[in-house]
Amino acid sequence: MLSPLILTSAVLNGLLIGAVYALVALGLTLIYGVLHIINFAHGALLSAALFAAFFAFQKLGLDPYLAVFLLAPAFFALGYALQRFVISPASHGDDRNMLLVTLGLAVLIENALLYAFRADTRTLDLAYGFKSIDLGFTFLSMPRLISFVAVFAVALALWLIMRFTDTGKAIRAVAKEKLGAELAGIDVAHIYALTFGLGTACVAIAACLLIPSYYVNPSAGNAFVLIAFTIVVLGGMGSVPGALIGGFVIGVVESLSGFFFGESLGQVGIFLIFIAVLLLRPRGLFGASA
Amino acid sequence: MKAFVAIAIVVAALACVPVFVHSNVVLNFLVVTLMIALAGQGWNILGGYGGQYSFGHAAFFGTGAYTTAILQADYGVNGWLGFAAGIAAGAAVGAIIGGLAFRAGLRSSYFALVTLAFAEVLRILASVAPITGAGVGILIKLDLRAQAFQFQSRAIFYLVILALVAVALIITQLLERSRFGVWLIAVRENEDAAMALGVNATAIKLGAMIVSAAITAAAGCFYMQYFLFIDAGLGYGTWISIEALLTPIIGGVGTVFGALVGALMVKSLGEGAKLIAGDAPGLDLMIYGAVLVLVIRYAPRGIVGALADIYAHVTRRFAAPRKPAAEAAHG
Amino acid sequence: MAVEEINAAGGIKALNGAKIDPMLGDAQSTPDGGTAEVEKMNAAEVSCIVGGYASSICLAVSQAAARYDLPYTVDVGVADSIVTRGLKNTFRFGPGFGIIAKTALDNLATINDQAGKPAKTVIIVHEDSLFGSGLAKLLNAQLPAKGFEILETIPHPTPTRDFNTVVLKIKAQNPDLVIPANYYNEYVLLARTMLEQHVRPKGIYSVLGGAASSYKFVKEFPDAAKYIMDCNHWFNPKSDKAQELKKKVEDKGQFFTYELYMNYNAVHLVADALERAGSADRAKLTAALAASTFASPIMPYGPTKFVNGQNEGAAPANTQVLDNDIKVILPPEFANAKAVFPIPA
Repeated sequence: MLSPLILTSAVLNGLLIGAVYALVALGLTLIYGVLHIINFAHGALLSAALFAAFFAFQKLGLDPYLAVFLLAPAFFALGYALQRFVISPASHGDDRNMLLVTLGLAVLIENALLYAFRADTRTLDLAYGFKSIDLGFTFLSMPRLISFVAVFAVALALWLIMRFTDTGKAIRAVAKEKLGAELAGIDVAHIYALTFGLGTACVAIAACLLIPSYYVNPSAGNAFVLIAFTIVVLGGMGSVPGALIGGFVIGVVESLSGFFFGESLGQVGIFLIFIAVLLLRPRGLFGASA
Repeated sequence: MKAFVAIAIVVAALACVPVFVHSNVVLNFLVVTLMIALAGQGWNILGGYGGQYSFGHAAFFGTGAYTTAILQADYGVNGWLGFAAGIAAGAAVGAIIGGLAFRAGLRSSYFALVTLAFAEVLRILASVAPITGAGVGILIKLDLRAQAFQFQSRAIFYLVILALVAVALIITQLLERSRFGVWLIAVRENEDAAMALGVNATAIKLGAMIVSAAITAAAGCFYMQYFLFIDAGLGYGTWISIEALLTPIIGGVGTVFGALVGALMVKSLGEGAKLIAGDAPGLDLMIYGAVLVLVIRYAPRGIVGALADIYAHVTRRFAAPRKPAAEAAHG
Repeated sequence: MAVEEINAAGGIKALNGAKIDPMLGDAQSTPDGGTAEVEKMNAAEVSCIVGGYASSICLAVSQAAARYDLPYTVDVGVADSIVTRGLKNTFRFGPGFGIIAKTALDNLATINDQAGKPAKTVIIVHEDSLFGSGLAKLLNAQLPAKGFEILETIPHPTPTRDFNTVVLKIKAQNPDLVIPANYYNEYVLLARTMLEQHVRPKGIYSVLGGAASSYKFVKEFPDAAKYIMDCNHWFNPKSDKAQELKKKVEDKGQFFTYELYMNYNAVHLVADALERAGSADRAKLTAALAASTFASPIMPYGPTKFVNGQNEGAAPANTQVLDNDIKVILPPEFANAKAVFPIPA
């Protein structure tokens, strides 16, 4: 069973699922890097975005790959508003309060979805949903391949924004040295909200790319949250390349450990890595010193 | 001394409830509420007084429940002994997690994450390991005798959990007054400053963690005796981690009665929501989430804190007028 | 629906046409939620409780009801432990794990024999909680005796995001049969991934498959669902009453799922017991249930006889997805199609 071809398949699968994980993690790491909070509402927002993508197709006839251009800005606005008008005023600036507020939002959003749409699972049956590329020894799912390419595009876009735009520089300034940035005239509250908005937009993109090969229900996003946290911690909180590489690493680790130790036990491996990184090298692979 | 009197009054009042209330619906509600309060009281020691917000208190709840379950179901150990063993096991797990996390200097978000991760690891292990019954869970035989820590009457269960809550109230009060408590609060307010003043923050936090874990584990053991069934999702699931932190935060973080008040409030809200929402799923939990956000926004010290503020405000209002009048008299 | 029917037909005649007044309770998928609901219902003096999907809830509810000698009829929960704890108040009209697994295996052997024994090797994929693990254990104990070789038993959590690794293992070992036992979402993902990876065993034979005998699955993923066999709760397709009910449900735009008709049966069982008991008194009702010979017009069961609360006449049926529809292939007296096995290349 351990032929090199089989192992290669496992690794390739890991890379493909890792791309999706990376997409979810990108938003989370951005938010942490600047606001220094773990956004516990990330999973619920992903579920909400999945529903949005589902209805975009059902009611507006928009293919998810097109809906992305509608939903990303929409969720950007949602994220901006959440941070500016809910999270920030509620937290009174205390980190611990922010944790609780995002947790409260997570419970609120997930159950609002449950209340509005019930728990029934919905799926989209798209024409290309089952298409796969035949590599001879394995088949690579088309939607997953598209996500793989997309994550690089998104990461690149984020990097370019951070590097070359004024907004990006402002974001980096606030992340590095909040007081100084404020003194230099940067509107920190606005930057915070902008960053949260960007992070939420990433979630919307992830949802559109995920929906062709997955399903939609109020707790669907939850399944990705802990994995996203693991990636963010592994890659380094606040590091975009870290989230990207971390995503692939975790994807491959999950695939291989699932292969050797079974799906259930394999998940333990991921968390053990998570704990080990937190205990031994909290700044992860690429993060700044804590 | 005054504070202990307050505890005595509250507990005595609650103990009288079964005399007047015979409805098993209400008694059942109260038993579950007090159990959640107990779990929350555990969290409060570490989170409220120590400022270390754990998102994985399920680790202790589940350990308590599983320990007593395994001892009773597989080894025929008596329910009361199992209860004691469960508390000890929970405390041990607290020592391990706390030892690892605090030695590594984890704080705030990182601490929350690592506790979450530990709880998840335990949940997954419990769902595959044969000793915990794997996916099937553990069922204790129905044996309605006091010696087996099972009771026919819900009123007795109520009194037992009330006693446990009372003990936790006393422990919390003693802690608040003690030197250990003072150091713990200092660590909460500003860990670096406390360390600069010579406080061994790591040891203090670890101590708080152990007490915290023991109390929450007791709640887990009680759950086992009341429902007689446990599985990985029930023991180590996020639901209990969230309830354990929700109740003291809403009730009043870092106060003696906070978790109790919070549990009563949250559970009542939940029941009220069910009445309003009827069949609609999710509405009561939506309310939990909304209340959490609103409490943090408008009453970050919880209900007890808010009441204390109102009390102080009111007493100040009544004390103030005298001075200006006296000054006016002096001219 | 059952309540509507009964009340429309004149109520419980033995009680002078008393109408059934249903009180609905939502256990919110937790044992303590279920227990709280039982308390409320007991306080409201109900005569009987019907329900229970997840086995852990059934355990809690039956126990809570037993305190008051309140009869409790399980409609869906299949764990054996529900009826083997010696609780006098708990009844189950439908089949439990034990009989389902046994029937599933007997039928598998029959289908295999009839096709000339093309299948020998098996991989089991199951979800890792009470339902899946319990079933996997039974299968592991009994399959070898029937001449099958289990290559691997693959557990997975609920939820599982991705089945590529599981399907890879299946592909690597190329079993003749894949036996899945999991809930709807995971079942669908597994079937889809197998389709994607072009993994085509000689048969996919589920036992209590989450999606295998689900009209929703067949409608949404016809290609992935084709030829899948299941041994599950199912109605008698030859029963006119069943078809009538099915049409009624589908006209409302819903799917005719087993939760629906299992519950339908349970309510009728209780109504019948009320008639025979001639009273809504709990003790009399419990006795009437224990002695019940109520035969459901819509189920493919044998004669009803309750032993320790379990209806011994209850049995699952074998279905297969054929022609974009779900047909019954076994037992022969209820079948409306012939099994297609092995799956055509």
